[in-house]
Amino acid sequence: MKRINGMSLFCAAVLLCMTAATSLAQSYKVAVSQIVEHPALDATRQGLLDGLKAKGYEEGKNLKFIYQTAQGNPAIAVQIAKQFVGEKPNVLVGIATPTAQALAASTRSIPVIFTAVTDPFGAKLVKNLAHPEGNVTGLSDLSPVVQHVELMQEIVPELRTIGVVFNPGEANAVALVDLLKKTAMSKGIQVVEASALKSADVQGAARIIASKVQVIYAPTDNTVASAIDALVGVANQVKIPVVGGSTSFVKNGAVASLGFDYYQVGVQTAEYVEAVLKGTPVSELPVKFARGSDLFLNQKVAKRLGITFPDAMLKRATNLK
Amino acid sequence: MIDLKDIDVIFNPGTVLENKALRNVSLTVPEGQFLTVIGSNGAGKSTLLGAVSGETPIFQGTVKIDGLEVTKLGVHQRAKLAARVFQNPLAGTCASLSIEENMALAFKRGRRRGWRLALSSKRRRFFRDRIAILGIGLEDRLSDSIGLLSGGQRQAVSLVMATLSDSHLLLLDEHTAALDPRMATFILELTNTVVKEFSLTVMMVTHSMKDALASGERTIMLHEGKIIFDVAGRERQKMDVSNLLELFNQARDEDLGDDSLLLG
Amino acid sequence: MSLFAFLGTLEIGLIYGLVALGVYLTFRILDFPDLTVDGSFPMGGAVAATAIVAGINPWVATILATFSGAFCGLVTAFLAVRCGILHLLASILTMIAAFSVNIRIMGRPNIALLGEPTIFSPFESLGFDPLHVHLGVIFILVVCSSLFVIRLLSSDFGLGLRATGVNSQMVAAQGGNIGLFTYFGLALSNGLVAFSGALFAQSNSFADVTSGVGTIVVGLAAVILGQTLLSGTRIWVAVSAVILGSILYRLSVAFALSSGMFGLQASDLNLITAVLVALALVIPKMKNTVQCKMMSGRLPDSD
Repeated sequence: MKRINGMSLFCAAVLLCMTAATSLAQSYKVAVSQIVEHPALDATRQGLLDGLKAKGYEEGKNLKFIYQTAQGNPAIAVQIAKQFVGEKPNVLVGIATPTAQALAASTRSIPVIFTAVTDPFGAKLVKNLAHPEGNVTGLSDLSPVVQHVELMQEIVPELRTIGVVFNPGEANAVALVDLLKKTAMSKGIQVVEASALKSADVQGAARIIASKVQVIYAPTDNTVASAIDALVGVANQVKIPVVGGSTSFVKNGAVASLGFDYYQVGVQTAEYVEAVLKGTPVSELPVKFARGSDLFLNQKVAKRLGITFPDAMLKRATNLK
Repeated sequence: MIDLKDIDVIFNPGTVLENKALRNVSLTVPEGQFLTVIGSNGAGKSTLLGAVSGETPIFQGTVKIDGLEVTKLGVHQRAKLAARVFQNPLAGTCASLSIEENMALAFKRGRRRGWRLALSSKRRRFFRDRIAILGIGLEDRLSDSIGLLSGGQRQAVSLVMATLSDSHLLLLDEHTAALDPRMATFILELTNTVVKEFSLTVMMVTHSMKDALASGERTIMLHEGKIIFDVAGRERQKMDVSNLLELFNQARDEDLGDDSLLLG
Repeated sequence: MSLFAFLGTLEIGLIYGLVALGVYLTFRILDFPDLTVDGSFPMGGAVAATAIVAGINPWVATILATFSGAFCGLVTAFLAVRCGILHLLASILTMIAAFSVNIRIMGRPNIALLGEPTIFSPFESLGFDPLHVHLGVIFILVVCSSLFVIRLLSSDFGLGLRATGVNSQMVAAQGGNIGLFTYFGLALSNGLVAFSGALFAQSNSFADVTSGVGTIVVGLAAVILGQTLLSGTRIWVAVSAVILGSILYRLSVAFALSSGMFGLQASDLNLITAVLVALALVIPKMKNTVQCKMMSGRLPDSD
C-alpha cells in the first residue's frame, strides 16, 4: 500500500510539472529536433535561428523556437518527435537523418523540413526530390566528394592512397565513403578505410591507417566531427595532411576543406522554414542540395607539413588561415 | 543398487596439490540396503558420494546405478536414478521459490520438464499429503517461500522432496551436520521413517559414529581414500562407538594422531 | 504534456516494456547479466525492415526478427556455457559483433519504412488514427507476450528456469540441465528484445543501427524502477512491474523533455532523466523513513 502511494505521488508530480511546462503560445512555433550536439550541427541550428531572425522572425517576439537533442539515441529522437507533434508547431525541423525520420513518421499534417540529411531519398523522407508529395522536404548536405578528391590531388601531387576514417553506423558517412571509393577508383587511387564506432575510437582508427596513406579524408561524419582534433593530431604526428568535408575542420588543423559552412546550411534552411510559415505548400518546395562550396585553407599547418598551395588554389580560397 | 568398481579419484593431478581422494575403491550396495559411511575429515567419504552422484569426476573405474553404467554421465543425467540431500540446507532447496514450487521441481526430477502447469490443483493435493507426513504443520504453509523456513525444516522438506520422484536411491551427504542436536535427531528419525516407507536404497555419509551405527544395516569406514572396514549384520549390531574406534585403530597402520572423528 | 505526446510516450514505454521483460528474464530470473540486448534490439529492427522492404509480409518479418534476436541469445549462451567465457564478456562479444552483422543485414546503417507496409497498415487503412492503431496493436502484443512469459514461468520448465538463477547446484541435482535453461532463457530474452526492436522500427518507420545504444541501461532502469515501486515475488506482479517501470522511465524522459522552462538546456536531458528515476526510487523509501520517525516520535507521548 505504501509503495503504491509513493508511486501515485510520483506520477502526479510528473503530470503536474508537465502541464505546467506547456506554456503560452506565440504567433509562430518552430520545433527543432537534433540527433546529437556537435559543432557542425550546432552551427546549422544557429544559422537557422539567425536566418529566421534576418527575415523578421525573432525568438521571444513573434517566434517560439523549441529545441531538443536526442543525444545520439534514436529512441529519444522518437520521443522528442511525439512531444513536438503534440505541441502542434507550425514547422518541424529535423537536423540529421534519424531525427528527420522520426518526425516524418509522427505526423502527416505538420510540415517537416529536414536539414543536414545526406541522402533524403534513401532515407525515404521524400519519394520525389523535385516534387515532394507528402509533408516533408528540406536540404541535403551531400558533400561534393568529386571535388574533394580533386582537391586532394592538387595538394598531394602523385596521389595514390587516401585514408578515410568514418563511422559505418552512420547513414550519411557510408553514403559519402561509397561515393569517395567510386570517385577514387576511376582515378586509380586506392582508398584505405578505418571505422570508428564512437568518437573515442577515432584516434585509434586514424593511427592504424596514418602510416599507410598520403592524405586523410575527414568526411562530414558526426562521429569524426566530434573527434576531429584527435584525427588531426595523429595526422600531424606522421606529417600527412587532413582534407575535410566540412569547412569547420580547417579551424581544427585540417589543411584544406571544401564544403559548406554549416552555418550557411542553417541559413538556407531558414528560407524553407519561412516559405512554409508564409503558407507555401511543401509540394512546391523541391529538395535542395546545400550550396556555397567554400574553400578553406590552413597555411600555417601547410607550412609545417611542407606543402605549398598552388597560386590558383590560393586565389579560389574563400578563407585563409 | 550401486556398483562401484576400482574407483580412483585424483584431485589436481600432475600438480603439487595432487591428492588421491579415492584409491581403487570397489563397493556394492544391494537394492534396499541402508549403508552408512564414516571417516575422518579428508578420508574421502563425500568424494565417494560425489562419485555416485556425478559431482566428482572419476579418474579411473566404473560406476553403475541399478545396473546402468553412468560413469560418463553428468550430475543432471544421474539425477533420474538418485535423489540427494545436502549437508547445507540452503543447497538442496531454492530459497526464492515457495515450498510447493520446490516440491514441484523435485517431482519432475530426472523427467522431462514441459509446458504443464507446475502447480496444478491435483499436484498441490499430492504435495500437501506428502508434506503432512512430517507432522510439523508445513502443509498449511505450502505457498510460503522456502527461505522463511529454518535449516531443519528445510532439510525435512528436502527429504520429502527426495521421495516425490520414483527413483529408489537416496544419497545423504552429512545431512544433519549443520543442524542443532534436537533437530538433527528429528531429521534422522524422519530419514528412517521415509526410508522404510518408500523402501529406499540409501548411502548416508556422516561424521557421527553413533548415528552411523544407529541407522541402517551396514557401515563402512574410509581412511585416506580406502575402505578400511565394512561391517553388517550381527557383528554390527553388537558394536558400539568404542568398538568402532578400536576397529578404526586396528585397521590403521600408523597412529591415530589428531583425530577429528566425533564421538557423539 | 499533450495527449498526443502522452500516448506516444505510452507507446514507446510499452515497446520498451518488452525489452524490460527480456532483461528481467536474464538479470532477475537467470542471474545472467546480459548485454546482448544492445545488439539484438537493433537486429530485430534491421531484420524486420530488410524483410519488409524485400516484400515479405510484415508479420512474417516480425517473426523472423524475433528469431534473429533469439539467435543472438543462443550465441551468447554458447560462448558462456560451451566456451566458458565469463557471461558479461560473452554478451559484450555478441553485442559488438551484432553491430557489424546489423549493417550487413541492412546493407547500410539505416533503412526507412516510411510508406512501406507494416503490421499496423491493415488497421490504418480501415481509417483509424495511426497513433491509436499503434498503441492498440502494441498494447495487445505486449499483453500477449507478458501472459506467455507468466505462463511459461509457471510451468515445470519455467520453474527450472527460475531455480537456475538462484541455486544451480540444486537444479542439477534435480536433473535439470543448467546449460539448456541458459540457452533457452537467453534465446527467449533476446527474442523478446528483438521483437521489441521490430515493433519500434515499424512504429517509427525506420531501423537504425545506432538504436541499440543504451538498450540495456533502459531495460535495467525499467526493471529496477518497476520492481522497487511494485514489489512482490509473484510472477505476474513482477512482470507487470517491469512493464510499468518501462512506461514510468519513458514518462521521466518525456518530463525531462518538457522541462525547458526551468532554465535547463536540451543537453541536460540525460541528467534530468537520471535524477527523476533516482527520485522515483528514493521517494517511497523516504516516505517509509519519515513514517518510522513519526512513529518513534509519537511513542514517548503514549507512554
